[in-house]
Amino acid sequence: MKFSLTDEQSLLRDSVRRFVSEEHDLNRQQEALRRDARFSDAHWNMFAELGWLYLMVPESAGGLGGSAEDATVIAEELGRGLVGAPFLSTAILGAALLGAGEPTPQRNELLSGLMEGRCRLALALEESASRYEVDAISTAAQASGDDEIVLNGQKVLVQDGADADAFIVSAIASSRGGGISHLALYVVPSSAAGVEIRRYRTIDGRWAADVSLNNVHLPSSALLIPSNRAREVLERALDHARIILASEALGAMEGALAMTADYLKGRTQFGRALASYQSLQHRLSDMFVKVENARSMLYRGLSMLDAEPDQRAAAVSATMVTINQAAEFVGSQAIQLHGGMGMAEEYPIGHFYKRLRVIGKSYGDLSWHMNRYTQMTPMVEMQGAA
Amino acid sequence: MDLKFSKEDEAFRMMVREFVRAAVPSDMALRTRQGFHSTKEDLQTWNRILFEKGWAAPHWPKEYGGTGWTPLQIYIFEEECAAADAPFLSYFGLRLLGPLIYTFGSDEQKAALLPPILSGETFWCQGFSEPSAGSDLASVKTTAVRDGNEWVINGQKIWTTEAHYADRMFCLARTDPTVPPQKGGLSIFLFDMNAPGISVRPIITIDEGHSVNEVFLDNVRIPADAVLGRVGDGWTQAKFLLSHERVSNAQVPRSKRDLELLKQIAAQERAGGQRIIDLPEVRQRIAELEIDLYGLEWSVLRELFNGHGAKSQPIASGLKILGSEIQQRLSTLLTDVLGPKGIVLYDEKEGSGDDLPGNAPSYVVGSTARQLFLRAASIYAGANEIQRTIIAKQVFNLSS
Repeated sequence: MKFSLTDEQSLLRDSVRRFVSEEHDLNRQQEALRRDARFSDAHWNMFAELGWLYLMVPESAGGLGGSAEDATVIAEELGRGLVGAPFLSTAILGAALLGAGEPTPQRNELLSGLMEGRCRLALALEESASRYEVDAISTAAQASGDDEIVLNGQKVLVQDGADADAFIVSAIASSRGGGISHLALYVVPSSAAGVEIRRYRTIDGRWAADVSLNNVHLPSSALLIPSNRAREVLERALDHARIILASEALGAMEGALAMTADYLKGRTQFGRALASYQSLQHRLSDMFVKVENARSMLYRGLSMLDAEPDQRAAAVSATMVTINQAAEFVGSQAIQLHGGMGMAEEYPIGHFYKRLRVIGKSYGDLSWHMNRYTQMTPMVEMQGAA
Repeated sequence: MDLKFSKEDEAFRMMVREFVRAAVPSDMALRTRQGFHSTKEDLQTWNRILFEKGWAAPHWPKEYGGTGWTPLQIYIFEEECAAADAPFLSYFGLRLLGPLIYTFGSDEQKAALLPPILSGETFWCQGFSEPSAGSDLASVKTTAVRDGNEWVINGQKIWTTEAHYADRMFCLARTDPTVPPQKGGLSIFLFDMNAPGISVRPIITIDEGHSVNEVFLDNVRIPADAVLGRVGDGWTQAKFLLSHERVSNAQVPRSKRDLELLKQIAAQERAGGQRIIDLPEVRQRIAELEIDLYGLEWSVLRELFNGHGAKSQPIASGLKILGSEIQQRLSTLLTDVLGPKGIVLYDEKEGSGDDLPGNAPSYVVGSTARQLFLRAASIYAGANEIQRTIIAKQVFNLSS
């Protein structure tokens, strides 16, 4: 075993840190997000130039074929800096799902656009009744004629969906002959006729969308992953994305913790630095212990990403349970230890908390992961009396 | 990063498992599972078995009788011992004094004292805590005064685990009252427990068990060379102990075994016709513990591979906090799973077969006593509040 980053990963981390310290400013980002309803094009182009959008695209499609571990290095620094880029939606989930599709010219064109920063993607899975269950959906894909597909349905809470150039949409594929219907994945350009987008902000200042699909006619090449393997491909991509999201959360927790420790050292009350009060010192220590434990669980999750699907699911959910619990504690205590300042929108600490809240509800929340963990974990492996 | 166990590690695990499972006598395994303080006989027997195999102190340097295993192999060995319900060998000689001797002791001390620790011939106890020096070791009041060719020790020690088993004590005492303890005023002495002037009084803990004692030292005369290393090095040596055992306080191997037993018992307990393990609330508590134990285990693995870098010292404190909390939660959940039976002590005096109070099955024996005793886990080896203060100081550079 080895827990240190490779030289390449260290360079990658340094390049993200340099971007965050030289190019990124939280308040300006939040203003721009509010004004433009999208993450800065100039910055997104830098993501492309620095190679971060190539990382998770398969080498056969011109990408770098990087690992989830590589991606966690980027995500952690983006989290520490609270960078509001659609990195997970496009460069992780988009790259993974497009990469898993047949290498058609359409797919390769989308992947080129993704890598060059021209094409932003969003994953449209959620519906009002699904609540993280990928097959609890009613969006339908109907074959029409020989070479057309018609999509109908209502997708909600599509993260980074407000300005996506294309959506990857889950739908139940039904053939004209009837038979069993199964989940499949489709690529839907946001400009397609019949696509209606309702845009709104999420609590972290980023943008999501509800996407209505009303008789959206698409060429049959819009089918990205057919129903015989869509479920498996999607679950795998989501589990990888969850771990990368966990890494973003970890960066945000460490950022919040460091900022809180600095604040306690600088602020004086009753003639003493707040940092000299033992009750506050112990709170910081508890936050530190939670963060380090969460990092250990991040590594455990990473180590299980190539395991059998059930084991992978249990391990990823175990990681996410830990991340969720740590994020809530660290994020809320960071506000608490800042006192009134913690409540100020113009001060960064509350933004850590808001981002952590969103992460904790992305692609599964605490209850969902806890349930999946208990379902996937045999409670008693050994037979017989104790 | 490389986050997988290697094939060699897995082969090593199988090799250890094969030996350990066959080597633990079944009556000893049952007693360990029940969780009472091990008897001296069990500790001696298991120590001897491991000694003969050459495995009594894998964590010692090879020249002193260690195995030369990697840190991960040592961890795997401990996990397999716990899984086989082997007794947990006496801590004080093998874990604490041994490393003190090979780090600070003279060549004569190494030659004379290490072999009988390794073989289990000599049992040691640790005379550190005193009535007015618990977490605050600098307040030690026991004195050692030089008189000709002897030292004369006077004072009182308390919470001395296994003093009633021990052949010898390593004892922290003030050698120079004019110098602060941290600056050369303390030394560690090594002496026989049957020396005139030593009396041991049991302290019965809230589990009604006997593992700790008061030790009275009344004009105990010991030879001049009975000091560990150099006079005045006691504070450095005591601090070394804090930093030396970075991962064992996490108690992961034992908690993993306890979790397994907890699940087995929860699968046998019934409420009406329903298995307790099938109650959603119980499943959730078990799952939360299991997940937290994974986190602790991976923190230990990180520590074994230097994955914490400069944070290693405060991480040790974090492992102690989390490890003790998990032990407490596991034992509490077990007694909760027992439902109304959890109100009975079920100690050794109440029989261990088919005649238990409450018509209880035999697996209840020991459970309540251990739950009570483990309240001490967040107090001993540096109270968890002290650990939090250490973290604040070392991570955030804050002083109290």
